[in-house]
Amino acid sequence: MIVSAFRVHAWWLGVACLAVLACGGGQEPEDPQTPPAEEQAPPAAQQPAAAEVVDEEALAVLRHMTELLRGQQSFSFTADMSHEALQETGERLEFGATRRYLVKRPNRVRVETTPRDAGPRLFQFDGKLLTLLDVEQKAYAQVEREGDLDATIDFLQDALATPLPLAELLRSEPGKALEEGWTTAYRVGVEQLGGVTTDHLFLRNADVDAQLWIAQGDAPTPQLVTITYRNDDGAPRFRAELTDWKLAAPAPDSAFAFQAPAGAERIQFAVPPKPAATEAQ
Amino acid sequence: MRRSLLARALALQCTLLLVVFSASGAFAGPRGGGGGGRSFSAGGSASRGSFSGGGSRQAASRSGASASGGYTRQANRGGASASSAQRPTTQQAGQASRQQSASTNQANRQQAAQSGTASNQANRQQASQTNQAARQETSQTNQANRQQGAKDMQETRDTNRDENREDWQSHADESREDRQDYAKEGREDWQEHSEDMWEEGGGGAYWAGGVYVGGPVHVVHYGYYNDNEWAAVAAGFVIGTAITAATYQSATTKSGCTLTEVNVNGTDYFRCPPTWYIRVMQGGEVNYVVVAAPPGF
Repeated sequence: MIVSAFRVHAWWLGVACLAVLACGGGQEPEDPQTPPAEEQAPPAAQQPAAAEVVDEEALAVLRHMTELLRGQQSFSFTADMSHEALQETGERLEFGATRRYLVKRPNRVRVETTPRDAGPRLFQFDGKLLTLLDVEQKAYAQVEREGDLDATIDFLQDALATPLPLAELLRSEPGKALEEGWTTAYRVGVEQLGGVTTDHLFLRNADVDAQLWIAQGDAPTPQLVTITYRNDDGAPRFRAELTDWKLAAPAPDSAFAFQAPAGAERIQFAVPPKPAATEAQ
Repeated sequence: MRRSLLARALALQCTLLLVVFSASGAFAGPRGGGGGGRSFSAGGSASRGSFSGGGSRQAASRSGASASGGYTRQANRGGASASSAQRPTTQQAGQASRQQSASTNQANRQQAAQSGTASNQANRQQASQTNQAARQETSQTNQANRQQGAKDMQETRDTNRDENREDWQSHADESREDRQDYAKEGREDWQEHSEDMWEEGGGGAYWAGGVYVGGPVHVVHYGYYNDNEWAAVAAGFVIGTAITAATYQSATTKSGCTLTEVNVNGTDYFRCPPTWYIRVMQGGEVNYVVVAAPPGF
Protein backbone atom coordinates (compact mmCIF):
# COMPACT_ATOMS: atom_id res chain seq x y z
CA MET A 1 0.00 0.00 0.00
CA ILE A 2 2.77 2.32 0.95
CA VAL A 3 4.73 1.36 -2.14
CA SER A 4 1.71 2.05 -4.28
CA ALA A 5 1.25 5.45 -2.70
CA PHE A 6 4.86 6.30 -3.43
CA ARG A 7 4.42 5.38 -7.05
CA VAL A 8 1.42 7.67 -7.33
CA HIS A 9 3.19 10.53 -5.62
CA ALA A 10 6.30 10.05 -7.67
CA TRP A 11 4.20 10.28 -10.80
CA TRP A 12 2.60 13.50 -9.61
CA LEU A 13 6.00 14.84 -8.68
CA GLY A 14 7.24 14.20 -12.20
CA VAL A 15 4.20 15.87 -13.75
CA ALA A 16 4.55 18.85 -11.48
CA CYS A 17 8.23 19.31 -12.26
CA LEU A 18 7.59 19.08 -15.97
CA ALA A 19 4.98 21.76 -15.55
CA VAL A 20 7.47 23.93 -13.72
CA LEU A 21 10.06 23.37 -16.44
CA ALA A 22 7.54 24.31 -19.08
CA CYS A 23 6.65 27.34 -17.03
CA GLY A 24 10.29 28.35 -16.72
CA GLY A 25 10.82 27.89 -20.42
CA GLY A 26 7.87 30.07 -21.13
CA GLN A 27 9.30 32.83 -19.05
CA GLU A 28 12.51 33.02 -21.07
CA PRO A 29 12.47 36.24 -23.04
CA GLU A 30 12.34 35.68 -26.73
CA ASP A 31 15.27 37.08 -28.59
CA PRO A 32 13.92 38.86 -31.63
CA GLN A 33 17.21 38.22 -33.41
CA THR A 34 17.07 34.51 -32.94
CA PRO A 35 16.38 32.96 -36.32
CA PRO A 36 13.80 30.22 -36.72
CA ALA A 37 15.05 26.78 -35.87
CA GLU A 38 15.40 25.73 -39.47
CA GLU A 39 17.69 28.67 -40.16
CA GLN A 40 20.02 28.01 -37.32
CA ALA A 41 23.38 26.45 -38.01
CA PRO A 42 23.70 22.84 -36.93
CA PRO A 43 24.99 22.84 -33.38
CA ALA A 44 27.19 19.82 -33.76
CA ALA A 45 30.78 20.50 -32.79
CA GLN A 46 30.37 24.18 -33.39
CA GLN A 47 30.24 26.97 -30.92
CA PRO A 48 27.10 29.03 -31.00
CA ALA A 49 27.39 31.69 -33.62
CA ALA A 50 27.67 35.18 -32.23
CA ALA A 51 25.11 37.60 -33.45
CA GLU A 52 26.62 39.71 -36.14
CA VAL A 53 25.96 43.09 -34.68
CA VAL A 54 28.16 46.07 -35.30
CA ASP A 55 27.45 48.51 -32.54
CA GLU A 56 28.00 52.12 -33.53
CA GLU A 57 28.92 52.95 -29.96
CA ALA A 58 31.85 50.55 -30.16
CA LEU A 59 32.95 51.90 -33.51
CA ALA A 60 32.79 55.41 -32.13
CA VAL A 61 35.17 54.45 -29.33
CA LEU A 62 37.44 52.84 -31.88
CA ARG A 63 37.29 55.90 -34.12
CA HIS A 64 38.14 58.13 -31.21
CA MET A 65 41.33 56.15 -30.74
CA THR A 66 42.34 55.97 -34.40
CA GLU A 67 41.77 59.68 -34.90
CA LEU A 68 43.98 60.42 -31.95
CA LEU A 69 46.80 58.34 -33.42
CA ARG A 70 46.29 59.70 -36.91
CA GLY A 71 46.59 63.23 -35.61
CA GLN A 72 49.89 62.66 -33.87
CA GLN A 73 52.98 63.85 -35.69
CA SER A 74 54.95 61.58 -33.44
CA PHE A 75 54.23 59.16 -30.66
CA SER A 76 55.81 56.32 -28.76
CA PHE A 77 54.68 53.46 -26.60
CA THR A 78 55.90 50.19 -25.15
CA ALA A 79 54.14 46.90 -25.76
CA ASP A 80 54.75 43.86 -23.63
CA MET A 81 53.40 41.15 -25.85
CA SER A 82 52.99 37.43 -25.94
CA HIS A 83 51.61 34.91 -28.32
CA GLU A 84 50.69 31.29 -28.25
CA ALA A 85 52.22 28.81 -30.64
CA LEU A 86 50.62 25.45 -31.09
CA GLN A 87 53.22 22.76 -31.30
CA GLU A 88 53.02 19.92 -33.72
CA THR A 89 52.49 17.60 -30.80
CA GLY A 90 49.58 19.64 -29.58
CA GLU A 91 51.14 21.66 -26.82
CA ARG A 92 50.31 25.31 -26.66
CA LEU A 93 53.35 27.36 -25.75
CA GLU A 94 53.67 31.04 -25.12
CA PHE A 95 56.47 33.27 -26.32
CA GLY A 96 56.88 36.94 -25.98
CA ALA A 97 58.80 40.12 -26.43
CA THR A 98 58.82 43.71 -25.33
CA ARG A 99 58.76 46.28 -28.09
CA ARG A 100 59.32 49.99 -27.88
CA TYR A 101 57.78 51.87 -30.79
CA LEU A 102 58.68 55.36 -31.92
CA VAL A 103 56.82 56.81 -34.87
CA LYS A 104 57.32 60.08 -36.67
CA ARG A 105 55.02 60.84 -39.53
CA PRO A 106 55.14 60.57 -42.40
CA ASN A 107 58.04 58.21 -42.86
CA ARG A 108 60.11 57.39 -39.84
CA VAL A 109 59.81 54.50 -37.47
CA ARG A 110 61.98 52.79 -34.90
CA VAL A 111 61.05 49.59 -33.08
CA GLU A 112 63.33 48.15 -30.42
CA THR A 113 62.51 44.54 -29.70
CA THR A 114 63.67 42.46 -26.80
CA PRO A 115 62.46 38.90 -27.13
CA ARG A 116 62.16 36.92 -23.94
CA ASP A 117 64.52 34.32 -25.30
CA ALA A 118 67.01 36.28 -27.37
CA GLY A 119 69.01 39.44 -27.48
CA PRO A 120 67.71 42.84 -28.52
CA ARG A 121 66.86 43.69 -32.09
CA LEU A 122 66.12 46.85 -33.94
CA PHE A 123 63.96 47.79 -36.88
CA GLN A 124 64.55 51.27 -38.15
CA PHE A 125 63.56 53.38 -41.13
CA ASP A 126 64.84 56.89 -41.56
CA GLY A 127 62.88 57.70 -44.68
CA LYS A 128 65.52 56.30 -47.01
CA LEU A 129 67.22 53.38 -45.43
CA LEU A 130 65.54 50.42 -43.80
CA THR A 131 67.65 48.55 -41.29
CA LEU A 132 67.21 45.41 -39.27
CA LEU A 133 69.82 44.83 -36.58
CA ASP A 134 70.41 41.86 -34.31
CA VAL A 135 72.51 43.28 -31.51
CA GLU A 136 73.56 40.00 -29.96
CA GLN A 137 74.53 38.45 -33.27
CA LYS A 138 76.29 41.66 -34.28
CA ALA A 139 74.74 41.62 -37.73
CA TYR A 140 72.46 43.92 -39.65
CA ALA A 141 70.83 44.11 -43.05
CA GLN A 142 69.81 47.20 -44.95
CA VAL A 143 67.89 48.20 -48.02
CA GLU A 144 67.33 51.59 -49.54
CA ARG A 145 63.70 52.47 -49.80
CA GLU A 146 61.47 55.40 -50.43
CA GLY A 147 57.97 55.74 -49.18
CA ASP A 148 55.84 56.55 -46.21
CA LEU A 149 55.13 54.46 -43.16
CA ASP A 150 52.49 52.41 -44.91
CA ALA A 151 54.77 51.45 -47.77
CA THR A 152 57.53 50.65 -45.34
CA ILE A 153 55.32 48.45 -43.22
CA ASP A 154 54.03 46.67 -46.32
CA PHE A 155 57.55 46.13 -47.57
CA LEU A 156 58.72 44.83 -44.24
CA GLN A 157 55.86 42.41 -43.89
CA ASP A 158 55.40 41.34 -47.48
CA ALA A 159 58.77 41.53 -49.17
CA LEU A 160 60.93 40.80 -46.16
CA ALA A 161 58.45 38.48 -44.47
CA THR A 162 59.12 40.16 -41.16
CA PRO A 163 56.19 40.52 -38.80
CA LEU A 164 55.52 43.80 -37.09
CA PRO A 165 52.92 43.28 -34.38
CA LEU A 166 50.38 46.04 -33.90
CA ALA A 167 51.44 47.62 -37.17
CA GLU A 168 47.90 48.89 -37.69
CA LEU A 169 48.47 51.43 -34.95
CA LEU A 170 51.42 52.92 -36.81
CA ARG A 171 49.78 53.41 -40.17
CA SER A 172 49.01 56.80 -41.55
CA GLU A 173 45.32 55.95 -41.55
CA PRO A 174 44.85 53.66 -38.58
CA GLY A 175 41.12 53.99 -39.00
CA LYS A 176 41.19 52.19 -42.32
CA ALA A 177 43.06 49.33 -40.79
CA LEU A 178 41.04 49.12 -37.61
CA GLU A 179 37.50 50.27 -38.29
CA GLU A 180 36.65 48.26 -41.35
CA GLY A 181 35.79 44.64 -41.87
CA TRP A 182 34.28 43.86 -38.50
CA THR A 183 31.23 41.66 -38.65
CA THR A 184 30.65 41.98 -34.93
CA ALA A 185 31.55 44.87 -32.71
CA TYR A 186 30.24 45.87 -29.33
CA ARG A 187 31.30 47.44 -26.11
CA VAL A 188 31.58 44.93 -23.31
CA GLY A 189 31.70 47.53 -20.60
CA VAL A 190 33.81 49.96 -18.66
CA GLU A 191 36.76 48.45 -16.88
CA GLN A 192 39.68 49.55 -14.77
CA LEU A 193 43.06 48.56 -16.08
CA GLY A 194 46.06 49.45 -13.99
CA GLY A 195 44.29 52.51 -12.68
CA VAL A 196 43.12 53.58 -16.12
CA THR A 197 39.43 53.64 -16.91
CA THR A 198 38.92 51.92 -20.22
CA ASP A 199 36.23 50.94 -22.67
CA HIS A 200 36.41 47.24 -23.32
CA LEU A 201 35.53 46.42 -26.94
CA PHE A 202 34.93 43.13 -28.66
CA LEU A 203 35.53 42.94 -32.41
CA ARG A 204 35.22 40.07 -34.83
CA ASN A 205 36.06 39.76 -38.50
CA ALA A 206 36.38 36.74 -40.74
CA ASP A 207 39.67 35.70 -39.17
CA VAL A 208 40.02 36.95 -35.64
CA ASP A 209 38.31 37.84 -32.42
CA ALA A 210 39.92 40.96 -31.05
CA GLN A 211 39.46 42.78 -27.79
CA LEU A 212 40.68 46.26 -27.10
CA TRP A 213 40.74 48.19 -23.89
CA ILE A 214 40.87 51.85 -24.81
CA ALA A 215 41.47 54.58 -22.28
CA GLN A 216 38.59 56.94 -21.69
CA GLY A 217 39.13 60.65 -21.76
CA ASP A 218 41.06 63.01 -23.98
CA ALA A 219 43.81 60.55 -24.78
CA PRO A 220 42.05 57.35 -25.84
CA THR A 221 45.11 55.18 -26.31
CA PRO A 222 44.84 51.40 -26.43
CA GLN A 223 45.92 49.86 -23.15
CA LEU A 224 45.45 46.18 -23.84
CA VAL A 225 44.92 44.16 -27.00
CA THR A 226 44.11 40.50 -27.41
CA ILE A 227 43.66 38.78 -30.73
CA THR A 228 42.49 35.23 -31.19
CA TYR A 229 43.09 33.64 -34.57
CA ARG A 230 39.99 31.55 -34.83
CA ASN A 231 40.79 29.85 -38.11
CA ASP A 232 44.18 28.62 -37.07
CA ASP A 233 44.75 25.30 -35.41
CA GLY A 234 44.27 25.70 -31.72
CA ALA A 235 43.01 29.26 -32.17
CA PRO A 236 46.19 30.81 -30.78
CA ARG A 237 46.04 34.10 -29.01
CA PHE A 238 48.14 37.23 -29.14
CA ARG A 239 48.17 39.63 -26.23
CA ALA A 240 49.81 43.00 -25.76
CA GLU A 241 49.83 45.41 -22.86
CA LEU A 242 50.56 48.90 -24.09
CA THR A 243 52.15 51.28 -21.65
CA ASP A 244 54.22 54.41 -21.44
CA TRP A 245 52.31 56.22 -24.15
CA LYS A 246 53.89 59.49 -25.18
CA LEU A 247 51.94 61.60 -27.61
CA ALA A 248 53.89 64.25 -29.47
CA ALA A 249 56.95 62.35 -28.34
CA PRO A 250 60.38 63.83 -28.98
CA ALA A 251 61.53 62.30 -32.26
CA PRO A 252 64.70 63.87 -33.60
CA ASP A 253 65.94 62.51 -36.91
CA SER A 254 68.94 61.17 -35.08
CA ALA A 255 66.64 58.70 -33.35
CA PHE A 256 66.06 57.04 -36.71
CA ALA A 257 69.55 57.25 -38.17
CA PHE A 258 71.33 53.95 -38.04
CA GLN A 259 74.73 53.64 -36.48
CA ALA A 260 76.26 50.24 -36.97
CA PRO A 261 77.66 48.86 -33.72
CA ALA A 262 81.37 48.28 -33.67
CA GLY A 263 82.27 44.97 -35.23
CA ALA A 264 78.83 44.36 -36.69
CA GLU A 265 78.68 42.61 -40.04
CA ARG A 266 76.35 43.69 -42.77
CA ILE A 267 74.53 40.65 -44.04
CA GLN A 268 71.94 39.98 -46.70
CA PHE A 269 68.24 39.46 -46.37
CA ALA A 270 66.81 36.02 -46.89
CA VAL A 271 63.32 36.00 -48.25
CA PRO A 272 60.78 33.43 -49.31
CA PRO A 273 61.40 32.06 -52.78
CA LYS A 274 58.24 33.41 -54.26
CA PRO A 275 57.29 37.04 -54.52
CA ALA A 276 54.67 37.20 -51.87
CA ALA A 277 52.26 39.55 -53.58
CA THR A 278 52.03 37.44 -56.70
CA GLU A 279 50.75 34.38 -54.98
CA ALA A 280 48.27 36.25 -52.91
CA GLN A 281 46.31 37.27 -55.95
CA MET B 1 -0.84 12.99 6.84
CA ARG B 2 1.46 11.27 4.40
CA ARG B 3 -0.25 13.12 1.56
CA SER B 4 0.37 16.37 3.36
CA LEU B 5 4.10 15.63 3.65
CA LEU B 6 4.38 14.80 0.00
CA ALA B 7 2.57 17.97 -0.93
CA ARG B 8 5.10 19.96 1.09
CA ALA B 9 7.98 18.12 -0.55
CA LEU B 10 6.56 18.85 -3.96
CA ALA B 11 6.13 22.50 -3.14
CA LEU B 12 9.70 22.71 -1.85
CA GLN B 13 11.13 21.05 -4.94
CA CYS B 14 9.21 23.35 -7.27
CA THR B 15 10.39 26.33 -5.26
CA LEU B 16 13.99 25.21 -5.65
CA LEU B 17 13.55 24.86 -9.37
CA LEU B 18 12.12 28.32 -9.62
CA VAL B 19 15.04 29.69 -7.65
CA VAL B 20 17.44 28.05 -10.07
CA PHE B 21 15.66 29.58 -13.03
CA SER B 22 15.65 32.95 -11.39
CA ALA B 23 19.32 32.75 -10.63
CA SER B 24 20.25 31.84 -14.15
CA GLY B 25 18.17 34.68 -15.42
CA ALA B 26 19.81 37.10 -13.07
CA PHE B 27 23.17 36.62 -14.74
CA ALA B 28 21.84 36.86 -18.23
CA GLY B 29 21.76 40.59 -18.27
CA PRO B 30 24.38 42.79 -19.84
CA ARG B 31 27.56 43.32 -17.89
CA GLY B 32 28.30 46.55 -19.57
CA GLY B 33 26.80 49.01 -21.90
CA GLY B 34 26.31 48.19 -25.49
CA GLY B 35 26.29 44.51 -24.94
CA GLY B 36 22.82 44.15 -26.25
CA GLY B 37 21.79 41.86 -23.43
CA ARG B 38 24.59 39.38 -23.90
CA SER B 39 25.86 37.39 -21.00
CA PHE B 40 29.54 37.09 -20.31
CA SER B 41 31.23 34.18 -18.75
CA ALA B 42 34.31 34.85 -16.71
CA GLY B 43 35.10 31.15 -16.40
CA GLY B 44 36.65 28.56 -18.60
CA SER B 45 39.90 26.68 -18.36
CA ALA B 46 42.03 29.65 -19.31
CA SER B 47 40.70 31.65 -16.42
CA ARG B 48 42.30 29.25 -13.99
CA GLY B 49 45.78 30.42 -14.69
CA SER B 50 47.00 27.20 -13.19
CA PHE B 51 50.49 25.84 -13.52
CA SER B 52 49.34 22.32 -12.96
CA GLY B 53 49.98 19.83 -15.68
CA GLY B 54 53.57 20.17 -16.57
CA GLY B 55 55.30 17.79 -18.90
CA SER B 56 58.65 17.57 -20.51
CA ARG B 57 60.14 20.48 -22.34
CA GLN B 58 60.23 19.89 -26.01
CA ALA B 59 60.93 21.50 -29.31
CA ALA B 60 59.38 24.86 -29.53
CA SER B 61 57.93 26.25 -32.65
CA ARG B 62 57.53 29.94 -32.13
CA SER B 63 55.72 31.23 -35.09
CA GLY B 64 52.26 31.16 -36.45
CA ALA B 65 49.59 33.67 -37.01
CA SER B 66 49.52 34.95 -33.48
CA ALA B 67 53.14 35.95 -33.74
CA SER B 68 52.20 38.60 -36.20
CA GLY B 69 49.81 40.43 -33.95
CA GLY B 70 47.84 41.51 -36.94
CA TYR B 71 44.13 42.01 -37.11
CA THR B 72 43.85 40.13 -40.34
CA ARG B 73 45.69 37.19 -41.69
CA GLN B 74 48.54 38.94 -43.32
CA ALA B 75 49.05 36.14 -45.73
CA ASN B 76 46.10 37.51 -47.63
CA ARG B 77 48.36 40.31 -48.58
CA GLY B 78 51.67 38.70 -48.52
CA GLY B 79 51.45 34.98 -48.45
CA ALA B 80 51.45 32.24 -50.94
CA SER B 81 48.82 30.44 -49.02
CA ALA B 82 47.53 31.02 -45.57
CA SER B 83 44.69 28.60 -45.62
CA SER B 84 44.67 26.44 -42.59
CA ALA B 85 44.05 23.49 -44.85
CA GLN B 86 47.57 23.75 -46.15
CA ARG B 87 49.18 24.43 -42.89
CA PRO B 88 49.80 20.96 -41.58
CA THR B 89 51.68 19.75 -44.59
CA THR B 90 54.95 21.15 -43.45
CA GLN B 91 54.47 21.62 -39.82
CA GLN B 92 57.10 19.04 -39.19
CA ALA B 93 59.36 20.26 -41.92
CA GLY B 94 62.93 21.17 -41.40
CA GLN B 95 61.83 24.16 -39.50
CA ALA B 96 63.51 27.20 -40.82
CA SER B 97 63.05 30.89 -40.83
CA ARG B 98 60.65 31.90 -38.15
CA GLN B 99 60.13 28.52 -36.65
CA GLN B 100 62.84 28.33 -34.06
CA SER B 101 62.66 24.72 -33.22
CA ALA B 102 65.26 23.39 -30.94
CA SER B 103 64.47 19.74 -30.75
CA THR B 104 66.93 17.14 -31.79
CA ASN B 105 64.49 15.73 -34.29
CA GLN B 106 63.87 19.02 -35.90
CA ALA B 107 67.52 19.92 -35.98
CA ASN B 108 68.25 16.59 -37.54
CA ARG B 109 65.58 16.99 -40.13
CA GLN B 110 66.87 20.40 -41.03
CA GLN B 111 70.37 19.18 -41.36
CA ALA B 112 69.16 16.24 -43.36
CA ALA B 113 67.31 18.49 -45.70
CA GLN B 114 70.29 20.72 -46.13
CA SER B 115 72.66 17.88 -46.59
CA GLY B 116 70.29 16.40 -49.08
CA THR B 117 70.58 19.54 -51.07
CA ALA B 118 74.31 19.53 -51.07
CA SER B 119 75.20 17.51 -54.06
CA ASN B 120 72.99 18.10 -57.01
CA GLN B 121 69.59 19.09 -58.08
CA ALA B 122 68.23 15.59 -58.36
CA ASN B 123 69.31 14.69 -54.89
CA ARG B 124 67.81 17.79 -53.50
CA GLN B 125 64.51 17.36 -55.19
CA GLN B 126 64.27 13.77 -54.22
CA ALA B 127 65.13 14.49 -50.66
CA SER B 128 62.67 17.30 -50.58
CA GLN B 129 59.88 15.24 -52.04
CA THR B 130 60.59 12.39 -49.71
CA ASN B 131 60.67 14.65 -46.75
CA GLN B 132 57.54 16.40 -47.76
CA ALA B 133 55.66 13.17 -48.29
CA ALA B 134 56.87 11.93 -44.94
CA ARG B 135 55.89 15.13 -43.29
CA GLN B 136 52.45 15.08 -44.78
CA GLU B 137 51.87 11.55 -43.69
CA THR B 138 53.20 12.20 -40.24
CA SER B 139 51.17 15.35 -39.92
CA GLN B 140 47.98 13.64 -40.93
CA THR B 141 48.69 10.81 -38.57
CA ASN B 142 49.34 13.20 -35.76
CA GLN B 143 46.18 15.09 -36.42
CA ALA B 144 44.12 11.95 -36.36
CA ASN B 145 45.87 10.79 -33.26
CA ARG B 146 45.26 14.04 -31.48
CA GLN B 147 41.59 13.41 -31.85
CA GLN B 148 41.92 10.04 -30.25
CA GLY B 149 43.41 11.33 -27.11
CA ALA B 150 46.64 11.91 -25.33
CA LYS B 151 47.56 8.32 -24.93
CA ASP B 152 47.43 7.52 -28.59
CA MET B 153 49.22 10.73 -29.41
CA GLN B 154 52.05 9.90 -27.09
CA GLU B 155 52.53 6.57 -28.80
CA THR B 156 52.51 8.24 -32.15
CA ARG B 157 55.09 10.73 -31.04
CA ASP B 158 57.33 7.97 -29.89
CA THR B 159 56.94 6.21 -33.18
CA ASN B 160 57.58 9.34 -35.14
CA ARG B 161 60.66 10.06 -33.14
CA ASP B 162 62.00 6.61 -33.79
CA GLU B 163 61.24 6.83 -37.47
CA ASN B 164 62.76 10.24 -37.76
CA ARG B 165 65.84 9.10 -36.00
CA GLU B 166 66.23 6.22 -38.40
CA ASP B 167 65.50 8.41 -41.38
CA TRP B 168 68.12 10.82 -40.27
CA GLN B 169 70.68 8.11 -39.80
CA SER B 170 70.26 6.79 -43.29
CA HIS B 171 69.94 10.24 -44.68
CA ALA B 172 73.14 11.35 -43.06
CA ASP B 173 75.03 8.39 -44.42
CA GLU B 174 73.88 9.08 -47.93
CA SER B 175 74.45 12.76 -47.65
CA ARG B 176 77.98 12.40 -46.44
CA GLU B 177 79.02 10.91 -49.73
CA ASP B 178 77.02 13.41 -51.67
CA ARG B 179 78.73 16.26 -49.96
CA GLN B 180 82.08 15.20 -51.37
CA ASP B 181 81.09 16.66 -54.71
CA TYR B 182 79.37 19.57 -53.19
CA ALA B 183 82.10 22.15 -53.63
CA LYS B 184 82.63 21.34 -57.29
CA GLU B 185 79.11 21.22 -58.46
CA GLY B 186 77.48 23.45 -55.99
CA ARG B 187 77.49 26.73 -57.75
CA GLU B 188 75.86 25.58 -60.97
CA ASP B 189 73.38 23.47 -59.14
CA TRP B 190 72.45 26.27 -56.87
CA GLN B 191 71.61 28.40 -59.82
CA GLU B 192 69.26 25.78 -61.18
CA HIS B 193 67.89 25.19 -57.77
CA SER B 194 67.22 28.86 -57.38
CA GLU B 195 65.20 28.98 -60.56
CA ASP B 196 63.25 25.92 -59.67
CA MET B 197 62.46 27.17 -56.24
CA TRP B 198 61.41 30.46 -57.63
CA GLU B 199 58.89 28.76 -59.82
CA GLU B 200 57.72 26.12 -57.45
CA GLY B 201 57.55 28.13 -54.33
CA GLY B 202 60.00 26.00 -52.47
CA GLY B 203 59.83 22.50 -51.16
CA GLY B 204 57.29 22.29 -48.46
CA ALA B 205 57.30 25.92 -47.52
CA TYR B 206 54.12 27.65 -46.54
CA TRP B 207 52.83 30.83 -45.10
CA ALA B 208 51.15 30.95 -41.76
CA GLY B 209 49.54 34.16 -40.76
CA GLY B 210 52.03 36.28 -42.55
CA VAL B 211 54.99 34.28 -41.38
CA TYR B 212 56.98 32.23 -43.85
CA VAL B 213 57.64 28.85 -42.42
CA GLY B 214 60.02 26.19 -43.54
CA GLY B 215 61.46 25.63 -46.92
CA PRO B 216 64.25 27.27 -48.81
CA VAL B 217 64.88 30.95 -48.92
CA HIS B 218 66.54 33.28 -51.36
CA VAL B 219 69.39 35.36 -50.26
CA VAL B 220 68.86 38.65 -51.95
CA HIS B 221 70.94 41.67 -52.35
CA TYR B 222 68.80 44.74 -52.52
CA GLY B 223 70.95 46.73 -54.84
CA TYR B 224 67.74 47.74 -56.42
CA TYR B 225 64.18 46.93 -55.74
CA ASN B 226 61.28 48.39 -57.65
CA ASP B 227 57.95 48.71 -56.00
CA ASN B 228 55.69 46.01 -57.29
CA GLU B 229 58.51 44.22 -59.01
CA TRP B 230 60.69 41.65 -57.43
CA ALA B 231 63.83 42.65 -59.21
CA ALA B 232 66.21 41.88 -56.46
CA VAL B 233 67.51 38.38 -56.76
CA ALA B 234 70.54 36.45 -56.03
CA ALA B 235 73.38 37.83 -54.22
CA GLY B 236 75.38 35.07 -55.77
CA PHE B 237 74.95 32.75 -52.93
CA VAL B 238 72.19 30.63 -52.84
CA ILE B 239 69.72 29.18 -51.09
CA GLY B 240 69.00 26.61 -48.63
CA THR B 241 66.73 26.12 -45.75
CA ALA B 242 67.62 28.58 -43.09
CA ILE B 243 68.18 27.51 -39.53
CA THR B 244 68.17 29.63 -36.47
CA ALA B 245 71.30 30.70 -34.71
CA ALA B 246 70.41 28.42 -31.84
CA THR B 247 69.94 25.45 -34.13
CA TYR B 248 73.16 26.26 -35.92
CA GLN B 249 75.02 26.29 -32.64
CA SER B 250 73.48 23.03 -31.61
CA ALA B 251 74.12 21.32 -34.94
CA THR B 252 77.72 22.41 -35.27
CA THR B 253 78.49 21.59 -31.68
CA LYS B 254 76.97 18.18 -32.00
CA SER B 255 78.86 17.41 -35.19
CA GLY B 256 82.14 17.99 -33.43
CA CYS B 257 83.57 19.87 -36.40
CA THR B 258 86.18 22.54 -36.11
CA LEU B 259 84.43 25.76 -36.94
CA THR B 260 86.33 28.27 -39.00
CA GLU B 261 85.36 31.67 -40.26
CA VAL B 262 86.65 33.39 -43.35
CA ASN B 263 85.72 36.64 -44.97
CA VAL B 264 85.45 36.51 -48.74
CA ASN B 265 84.45 39.56 -50.69
CA GLY B 266 83.02 41.16 -47.59
CA THR B 267 80.97 38.19 -46.55
CA ASP B 268 81.67 36.08 -43.49
CA TYR B 269 81.57 32.38 -44.24
CA PHE B 270 81.36 29.82 -41.48
CA ARG B 271 82.72 26.40 -42.20
CA CYS B 272 81.81 23.24 -40.37
CA PRO B 273 83.42 20.77 -42.76
CA PRO B 274 82.23 19.97 -45.24
CA THR B 275 79.40 22.47 -44.92
CA TRP B 276 79.61 26.20 -45.46
CA TYR B 277 77.20 28.71 -43.98
CA ILE B 278 76.53 32.37 -44.21
CA ARG B 279 74.33 34.45 -41.97
CA VAL B 280 71.23 36.09 -43.28
CA MET B 281 68.56 38.39 -41.89
CA GLN B 282 65.31 36.53 -42.04
CA GLY B 283 62.08 37.49 -40.41
CA GLY B 284 63.85 40.07 -38.30
CA GLU B 285 66.46 37.75 -36.88
CA VAL B 286 69.76 36.28 -37.89
CA ASN B 287 69.65 32.80 -39.34
CA TYR B 288 72.18 30.56 -41.03
CA VAL B 289 71.88 29.07 -44.49
CA VAL B 290 74.00 26.49 -46.21
CA VAL B 291 75.82 27.82 -49.25
CA ALA B 292 78.35 26.69 -51.76
CA ALA B 293 81.96 27.08 -50.82
CA PRO B 294 83.23 30.57 -51.47
CA PRO B 295 85.57 31.19 -54.39
CA GLY B 296 88.98 29.77 -53.72
CA PHE B 297 87.83 27.11 -51.29
